[in-house]
Amino acid sequence: MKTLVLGNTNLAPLRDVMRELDLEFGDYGDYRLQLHDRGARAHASDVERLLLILDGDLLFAEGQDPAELVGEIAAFADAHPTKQVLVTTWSVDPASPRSYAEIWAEEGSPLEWQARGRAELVEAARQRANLLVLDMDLVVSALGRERLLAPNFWYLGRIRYSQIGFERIGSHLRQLLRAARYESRKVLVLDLDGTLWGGTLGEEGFGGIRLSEDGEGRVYRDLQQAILSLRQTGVLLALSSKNDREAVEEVFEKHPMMRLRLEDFAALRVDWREKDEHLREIAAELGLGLDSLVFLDDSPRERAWIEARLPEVAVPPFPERLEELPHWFRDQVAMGHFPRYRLTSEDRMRPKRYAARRSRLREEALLGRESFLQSLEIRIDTDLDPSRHVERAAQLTQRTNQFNLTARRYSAEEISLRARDPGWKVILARYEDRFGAEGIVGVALVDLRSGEIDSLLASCRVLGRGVEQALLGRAEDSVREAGHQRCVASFRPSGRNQRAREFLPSAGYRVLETRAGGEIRYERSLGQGVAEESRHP
Amino acid sequence: MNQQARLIELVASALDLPVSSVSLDSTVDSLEGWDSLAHLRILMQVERAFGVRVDMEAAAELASVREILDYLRAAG
Repeated sequence: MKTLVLGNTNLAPLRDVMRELDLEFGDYGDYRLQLHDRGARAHASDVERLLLILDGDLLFAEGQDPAELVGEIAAFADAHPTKQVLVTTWSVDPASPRSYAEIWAEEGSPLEWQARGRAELVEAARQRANLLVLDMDLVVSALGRERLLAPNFWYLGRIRYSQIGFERIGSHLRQLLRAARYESRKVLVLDLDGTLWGGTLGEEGFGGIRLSEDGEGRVYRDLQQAILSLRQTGVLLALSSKNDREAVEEVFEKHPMMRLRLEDFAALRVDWREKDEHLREIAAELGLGLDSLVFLDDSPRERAWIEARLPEVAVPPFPERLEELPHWFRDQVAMGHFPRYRLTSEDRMRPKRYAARRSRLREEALLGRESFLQSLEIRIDTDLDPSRHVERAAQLTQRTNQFNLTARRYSAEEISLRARDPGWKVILARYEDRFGAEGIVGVALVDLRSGEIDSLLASCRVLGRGVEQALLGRAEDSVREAGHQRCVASFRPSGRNQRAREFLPSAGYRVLETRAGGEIRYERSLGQGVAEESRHP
Repeated sequence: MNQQARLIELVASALDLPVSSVSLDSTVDSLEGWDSLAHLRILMQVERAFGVRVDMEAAAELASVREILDYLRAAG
């Protein structure tokens, strides 16, 4: 599938910095025609994505009306709900030959024009799952116009940006596309000495570590602040430190300059064992894979140790200069490993949910599984309006690996399309118990025309608590209501979904056929509610 | 790697050619694919790799790997 790049300058060098995408380029300046003309390349079915990189200086000089332009882009996005339309904002140089008088310009200053275009674009994108916006100011303010623009190549061949400019644009585009696919890691594992404060607690003591309002200690305070902001986007924090637990607790509780609190961490490992053990245990405790972890440690020895033993864990190198730590963290760690495009309410709830999860695990160990389950006061709601939760539904199809019958991945656009299609039923399951709400944790997609369950999945954190059965029950009801006598469902092995293999047989389904690749198709007669009992063991 | 070897590798990669097919004597006319767009892409990558600015007026004159290298040496 192709990505069509449209713009008002020569963007061909983008290919050199984004070789992983199958890029195709429109003629520069033909973007309007491409948007309007149904016969144009942009409308072809093998073009899955439109990349619209318009130079703001040129648009402003031409006197373009930003609202009109946004209207045309939005109309294209609406006409092609399965295509992804990614637009960069239009940055305009505030300097002009009118020098300081520009600020009084009657027809609007460059910056006013830019703000108007940005607001229109953001508003249009807010309402459309398939319209994505990348803020060009991320590139402009990091490089400055002097390094971003290439007047020599502009006059030689209409190439507006320098090589480093294209590299930065490419890397932001790449990260944003990953964010839109929810390809983000989930846990940031932090070291203490030399990472969250300066110095070594075990040697220099409570009063000796550097953490303060000024000087070296300010670097760590700023880093802690940035980590807290990252946590608010739903990233889980964990601690892995070779230290005495008591000394560490004292710092967290009593040091006036600490921004992070022990309660901010979803898992703690503070002892003298090797860190690969810490990380393995943290992943197991949180119920996540090692490939969800990012490990932050100033010690090259510890980083090499983890890289050699746990290659799935991301181990970013530290910046060369200490003063770069907070910025480096934001650009390389937060944007590079935890890219976010839209935040769902699940993202914001996540840290709280994991705290509830810890209480549940503790109580389950205490009560034993049976009485624990009975004590939970589980409430499962499958009557949600899917069109209001397309982002979350897509996120679940992308990220659920273990209990996922077919492991089909869907984008928000595709979910949104099915939610509106009368030939499809999108079922969401919301879970709550006396420890708290888990939010939306399961999805089923049903093809009502064929009477087949296309997808059924549940987050592993609620498995065995009735969510998967509730989803199946609702899916079968919808198949029955669509006039079918039987319900068809499949298990497609993905390499990671073993936990879902026995689900259909245990719910009374019998094998129809086994296909190439190990896919097994099942059916169940819906006549008399045959397997009602096995569905609710 | 010295400047010359890095430049040859850069030109080869920009033109999608094996390094062995590019030498100091390669010219705009002798290498396949070295058209006007490729010429600009090569010079953009030269700017990035060697930290120089290629003047607009000089850019059109640079017609071989050797001339680019001479320009780099004069600029550096």
